[in-house]
Amino acid sequence: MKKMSKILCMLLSVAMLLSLAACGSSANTAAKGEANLAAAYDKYLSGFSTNGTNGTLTVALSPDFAPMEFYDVAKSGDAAIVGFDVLLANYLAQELDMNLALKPMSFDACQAAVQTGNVDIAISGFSWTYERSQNYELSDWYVAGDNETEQSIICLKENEGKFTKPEDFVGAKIGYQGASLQQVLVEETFGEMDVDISNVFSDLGTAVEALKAKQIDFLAVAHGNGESIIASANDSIAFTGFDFEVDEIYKNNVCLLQKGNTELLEKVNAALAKALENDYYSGWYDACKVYAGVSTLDELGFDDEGNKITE
Amino acid sequence: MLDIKNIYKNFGDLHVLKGVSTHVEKGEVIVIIGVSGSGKSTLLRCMNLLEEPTFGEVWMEGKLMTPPDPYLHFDVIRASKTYQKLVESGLSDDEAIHKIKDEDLLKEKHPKTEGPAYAALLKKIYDENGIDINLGRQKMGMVFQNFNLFNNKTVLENITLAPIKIGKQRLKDAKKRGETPDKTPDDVVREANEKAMKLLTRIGLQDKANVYPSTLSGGQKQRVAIVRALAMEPDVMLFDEPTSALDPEMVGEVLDLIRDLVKDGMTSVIVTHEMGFAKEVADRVIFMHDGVIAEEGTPDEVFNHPKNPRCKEFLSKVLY
Amino acid sequence: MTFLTNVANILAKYWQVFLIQGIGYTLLLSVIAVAGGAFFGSLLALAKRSKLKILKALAAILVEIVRGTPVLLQLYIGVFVFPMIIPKLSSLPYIYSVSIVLIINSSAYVSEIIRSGIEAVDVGQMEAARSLGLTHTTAMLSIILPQAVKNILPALGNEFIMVVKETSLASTFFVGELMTAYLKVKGYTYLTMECLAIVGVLYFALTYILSKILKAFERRMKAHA
Repeated sequence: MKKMSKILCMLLSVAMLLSLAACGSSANTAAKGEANLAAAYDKYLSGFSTNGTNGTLTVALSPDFAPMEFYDVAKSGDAAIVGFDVLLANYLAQELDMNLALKPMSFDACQAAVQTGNVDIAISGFSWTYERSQNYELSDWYVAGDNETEQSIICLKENEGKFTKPEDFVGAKIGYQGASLQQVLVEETFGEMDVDISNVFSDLGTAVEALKAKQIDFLAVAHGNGESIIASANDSIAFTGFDFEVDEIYKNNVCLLQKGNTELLEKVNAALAKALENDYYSGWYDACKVYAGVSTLDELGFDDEGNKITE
Repeated sequence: MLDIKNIYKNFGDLHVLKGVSTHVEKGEVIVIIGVSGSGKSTLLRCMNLLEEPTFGEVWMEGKLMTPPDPYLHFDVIRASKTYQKLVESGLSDDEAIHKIKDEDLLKEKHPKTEGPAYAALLKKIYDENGIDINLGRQKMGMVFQNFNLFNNKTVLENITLAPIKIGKQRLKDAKKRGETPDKTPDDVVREANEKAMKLLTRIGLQDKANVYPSTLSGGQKQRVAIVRALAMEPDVMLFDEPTSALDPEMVGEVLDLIRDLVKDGMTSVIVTHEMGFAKEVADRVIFMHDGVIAEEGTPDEVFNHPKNPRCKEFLSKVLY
Repeated sequence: MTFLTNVANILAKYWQVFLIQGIGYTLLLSVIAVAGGAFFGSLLALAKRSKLKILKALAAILVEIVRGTPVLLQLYIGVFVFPMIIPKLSSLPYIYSVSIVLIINSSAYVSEIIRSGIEAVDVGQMEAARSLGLTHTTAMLSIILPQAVKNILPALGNEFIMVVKETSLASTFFVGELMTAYLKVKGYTYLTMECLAIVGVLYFALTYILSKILKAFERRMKAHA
């Protein structure tokens, strides 16, 4: 019995050590030359003051969606959650004179969290949809770079640039993420045509794999996501050359608030209006594109310290 | 010493015992025989309340072990509402009582439905005569067909567990009552161990004191089981087919031990198929059939001059 | 070949997320769930054997509901509904609610493990103990439970391995265990298959090693008896 408990103790301590290391660790795996990917983003982030006096703003988001929200594993704790929506969240907290608490959870859970009042607001790349507007308070639009403005179709490299009109897609299989803006666009554009649009995926990653495996011929994505995907795909995926015509109403992202929470809604909209007026969004989005490895600081007009170069 | 009054035992719809009465005097050796399903093991197990009789009472040394059975107390029946109603409707005392007993009219002996007088009488009977079931069992030792030695205790611990636990509890209870105890808990342990070693030596297994039962043979296990029961110094020993699970070559050593106990005067009730042994040690033989005692008498009477046809049939198959 | 190169690159860059954080949190959650589950499971098992009818009924209902609903559903309830009842939870990180749910879930299964462990002990042991005049409680503590433990421990070990896999559901709330690591890295690299492969291999390695350790324990216990 003694030997057994000794082994038990050893195992428990190993498990505990590992978890302690986990809690305190910061994976410092940034290689040389990559350290500056975060420069512009960090610059913007440090510009926000979120030591508010008005309580805490709890924000739900799903950090598996570069460049809007994702994890930088080189950082630890809440600071590891980064992306456009995170900058927006910080900005809103500042404008509302509140502290900020980020609550990461799956995309579905974000909506449930807002619905039950578990969080104040969900900022996770949500587009405007009719159903959402019925069940939640949707904020005014915020512009997430060209992420939502341009909606495109990607394909395997061999088909690059060859499909530019809707008719080109007759007889093909197009995939998209379920309950997304892309679904609405695909159904609107190809619904009446002889195109197989039954290929729904629960998340973008799975859809990309299906494209690689030729289970679908084409994948409808937001242009920004498409750029991320192509950047990681080692030249095997490319844009078809087809872009959806996007109604103004679909072009941008919204924040979700609990139905009836008009007080917070007004404050949020006021802050968003200010951001729109002063054109904060494009700078933020560019910084995030760099961070997500889609572009370089240079390409998007930042210097090495992350300051935006204004002509 | 041991009084069995009109025991009925039902398992759901299965009626195993259908009115069995007997009693065991001090020093008597009773052997119970019969076919499987005749109720002999059930009867034995009712004696120390391992099975709770559906009706009937078990009295041990003048103390009531089961709850009082109203059907056995006429004054209780007379106090019941059902009786009142029957008498009012014109039945005589005798008729009413018989009707109640035959038709089991006292609704499951529920005190509340039969009135406060009834309940009070039942309580009085129990208060005056009742004994805590554990105390009663401490005076009765039981030996099982499958030995049932405690697998997680050594042979010595098997024997000393009950004496030590119960001995220490007695000391605690005495303290609670304000009496000064005549020994310490350590004394209890010491005495239990000494007695256990004596018993083990008696059966020649003193070397096995610190081994676990799984290493013993069947015969050794059963002899340890018998000695474990003896350690509590019971007034009566109950044996439930003690040799039925043993290989033939080990039956002898167990029967020898039982024979010794009986010679020393231990009151015993033995359920067995060993007819030769029964003839040898029994003061009285009970033949059970279909839940009742079909034949009862001295070994000579039952084995050599059976009256009951079922008994004759059984013996002709069993003795050869 | 690009698949393997990608895997190698990902491991080189993100090994800490998978191996330290991922496995660390997975083990932490599992240990918390099963240790807590063992404790509360014992209480539940006691409650189910109690003479108080209402306690028995409540315990039975809890066990049935917990065993009859998906763990994911329970996690949602834990994270979104519990803070309404226990306000302190809203200010704590989600890992607390998740741990509570996992403990409750494990208790239900453990109480059944304990129950069957006890019932597997031969009924003759209790009969012999009662025949000697020992009380039910003494018999349980001295004879039955020690033997039941020998039945319970292997089943408990199996429960632990099941829980290790169940912790993957906590990734819904980005708690940090192995599946969360998958989400984090996949969210940045969009290399789903590669990340899945890494995480799959790690889960398998973890459960395989744990079952080997479990078997070694079982052998030790049998030898000791």
